[in-house]
Amino acid sequence: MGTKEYDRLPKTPPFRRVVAVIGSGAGFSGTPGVSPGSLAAIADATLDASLDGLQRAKSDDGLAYALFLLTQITQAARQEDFLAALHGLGLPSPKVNVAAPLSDVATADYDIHDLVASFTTAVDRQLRRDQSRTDIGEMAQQAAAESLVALCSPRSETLFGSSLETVKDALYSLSTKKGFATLTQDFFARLTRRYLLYHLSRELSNHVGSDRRFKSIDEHNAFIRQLDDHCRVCSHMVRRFAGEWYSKHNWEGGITPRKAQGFAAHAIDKMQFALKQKGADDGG
Amino acid sequence: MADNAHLLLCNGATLARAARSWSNAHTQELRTGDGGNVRIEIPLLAKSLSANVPDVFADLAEIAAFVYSADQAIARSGTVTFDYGDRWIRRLRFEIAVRCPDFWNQPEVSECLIEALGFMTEDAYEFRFTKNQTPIAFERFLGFGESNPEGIEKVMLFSGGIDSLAGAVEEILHNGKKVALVSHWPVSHLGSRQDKLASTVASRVSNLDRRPLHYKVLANKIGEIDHEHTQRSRSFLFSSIASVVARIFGIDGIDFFENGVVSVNLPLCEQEKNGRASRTTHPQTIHRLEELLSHVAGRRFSVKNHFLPYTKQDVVEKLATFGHADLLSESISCTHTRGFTLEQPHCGLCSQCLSRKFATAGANLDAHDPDSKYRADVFIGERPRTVDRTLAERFVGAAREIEMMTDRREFQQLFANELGRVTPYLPGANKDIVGMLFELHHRHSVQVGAVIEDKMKRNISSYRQGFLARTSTLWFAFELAKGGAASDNGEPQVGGHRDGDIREQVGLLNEMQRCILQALLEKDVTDPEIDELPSQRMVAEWAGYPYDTSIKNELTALVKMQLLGNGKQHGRRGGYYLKGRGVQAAKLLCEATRAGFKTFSGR
Repeated sequence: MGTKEYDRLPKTPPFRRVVAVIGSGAGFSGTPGVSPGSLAAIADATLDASLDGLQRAKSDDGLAYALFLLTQITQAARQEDFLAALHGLGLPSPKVNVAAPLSDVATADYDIHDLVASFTTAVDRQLRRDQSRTDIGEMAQQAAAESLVALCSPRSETLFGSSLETVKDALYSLSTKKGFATLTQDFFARLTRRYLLYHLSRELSNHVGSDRRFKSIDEHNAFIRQLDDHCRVCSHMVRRFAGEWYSKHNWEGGITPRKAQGFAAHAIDKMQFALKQKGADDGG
Repeated sequence: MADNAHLLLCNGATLARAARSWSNAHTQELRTGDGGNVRIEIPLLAKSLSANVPDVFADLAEIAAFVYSADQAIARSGTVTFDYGDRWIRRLRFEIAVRCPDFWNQPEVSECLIEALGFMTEDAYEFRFTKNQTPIAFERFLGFGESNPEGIEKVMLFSGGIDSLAGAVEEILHNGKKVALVSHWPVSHLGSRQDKLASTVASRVSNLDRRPLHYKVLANKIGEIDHEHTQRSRSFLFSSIASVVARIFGIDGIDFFENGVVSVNLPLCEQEKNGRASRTTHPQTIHRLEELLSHVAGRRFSVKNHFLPYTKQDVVEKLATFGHADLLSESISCTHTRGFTLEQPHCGLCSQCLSRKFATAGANLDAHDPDSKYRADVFIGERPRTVDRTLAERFVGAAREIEMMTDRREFQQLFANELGRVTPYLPGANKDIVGMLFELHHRHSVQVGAVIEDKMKRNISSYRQGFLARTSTLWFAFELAKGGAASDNGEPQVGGHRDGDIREQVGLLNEMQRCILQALLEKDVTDPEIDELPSQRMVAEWAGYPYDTSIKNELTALVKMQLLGNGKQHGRRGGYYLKGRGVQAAKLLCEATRAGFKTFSGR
């Protein structure tokens, strides 16, 4: 019990280039004439090798639904009955899945993780119902949950702990034009990091060792953190138009999953452009 | 119909008119009983006991066997090329003729079944049940065992691995319970080991009446068991059959024993998506099985995992505390059959072997889990395949990452989605559960770190002499020593320390770099703890060079080469010192100078 299924990179020319840009390793060799490059160059080469994935991400239902739900739960924070508004969106109340009756929901003990657990349950249900689960949808779901914790947790935790009210206030701050821009930037930065590592994690371990790119496991872990920083820098372009889009569409009949999908496709193009530009700037 | 869609027509059922789109899907017919291609056997349960099996439970056993058989027979292809889950995630429609179709077609029941299986396997399921006019009598699945086993108090699932062994020891030998052990018997060699282990546990119960009973279940698609090895639906089969056994003995519950780290099975790296990490005893799986089995039983039917709060090392220590550590050598954690021998039942490469060996080594019980039982040494053996290297490197790397976390917030953020799949299904406030899970995983990480340090100390010579495989777990771990693991002189050891390597490296140094090393050796600056480490300016002076950009660059280069250390790495003001490797390099240079060589050739 407790098994894991891993794979190696395909031996196609674009992925051979990825291997070469990472540097010499214990896996298969890279492309002749291509030497190890910067982190930006690695990200760029990975994007080039996975263009099909990027195209698919633009029309992925799971990604669109996770983003749509982010737009809706921020709006729910503007409703008087926050829990009821979340419930209306398909987010179960805390602990509704276990035997405890709804009245046992202790709103005084409400925590950001209660919101995240409800969010995760809602996305899982929707994707199972629609039979639309993909790896890209899973990455988006993970990125969205991570963003909610990262942005709401510091604001919702007071000296006296957190409560339904403090979580609602934290989420409310993300329902403004500026707040949603912050949330969207954070989401796409994390999604991009996960997307790049989804591919790279099939190879990076081959490059750990004293004579390799990562001299230690710590350096490999540090690379993952640096990749997050890199994606964050590149996601500034998304921030610029996210707030505008959010407030415009909230006024014009509200945001739908379809509109969220259109926005996601545009944001992915922007991210792709920014990553390529950064890769070129860094000599990739 | 998509390429990953499969239609399973079971026990003579036909495709519903409303689901005609499935007529183009890959279709297989499955059937139990005489001439059928799906086997269910519980040979040690007496035929006379079948009277205790209600029709819905008999249906459950058949449904579980069909699902498991399909899971085995339909490959999750497309794992090497990136298809983002297209072929990993299968679409399965089952049309099954059963005894109680009205029960199974109830939306709340079929939804429970779909949710449970969907979560366990990440496949997409559809079910339709029709009436089986000529069902097979359930007694046909039974054998000739004891017809009246009295006094059974618990039914527990027994895989023959460390966790279920420790559970059996706790319940049978420590708590004195009379237990029915239920095992799934996937391959014959594993079955015989399960038998032997169960018999050994039984032999330690002095009161014959209190000895455990061991029931093995055979269920699979005849002749086609190797198409798909992942078998994510195995715990559905396992628990379904165990619930039938429990029902026979009038017990409303079954018990799992699996440590929390393996149960939650957090991803070690980003390629683990959508069930690439198994969820056999995940808290949500346990909850969903309990929900489904309660529907089937018509009353609350409990499914519990008693070892959720423990790491595997905790479980091993528990076994030792009970005084039965010697049983470890009889247990088998590895399910890889290729190359299996009775002498070496463990492959040494898979996640189960990693987890097992780190646990037994951490508990200082290596003697009961000797390296000789592993076909590849978990710590120092070659890992020729990328997937095996990744697993070992990330097993240590993820533990390292979690060990460095100072509180639950970082953990909660990184694994937000995964924790969101756990907390709703455990009692208590979500934030308390997150806290418990953080402590559990942090403890596991510290345990992994301690084992690594210990193994490094034991293998330092082979590392230095260049005998350590460069694709081994310990090779990756030695590189981790940069952060502070000990060598024999207490200094972090980084990089290859083979004499030949150093000679080669020294041969590549420029004149200024050599002078710096020799100057620092002459001044005996080899300890980062000395009061005043020399500044750049001082090193320049000692080496006889002007203090300018060149010498700054050379100092930086020597630090990168791991020949020099900088006090800043130890949280001090700064200044340089010779690291162990630098001392060796400087000594080689001094020897060469004494011998009158003008240049160091590296020979």
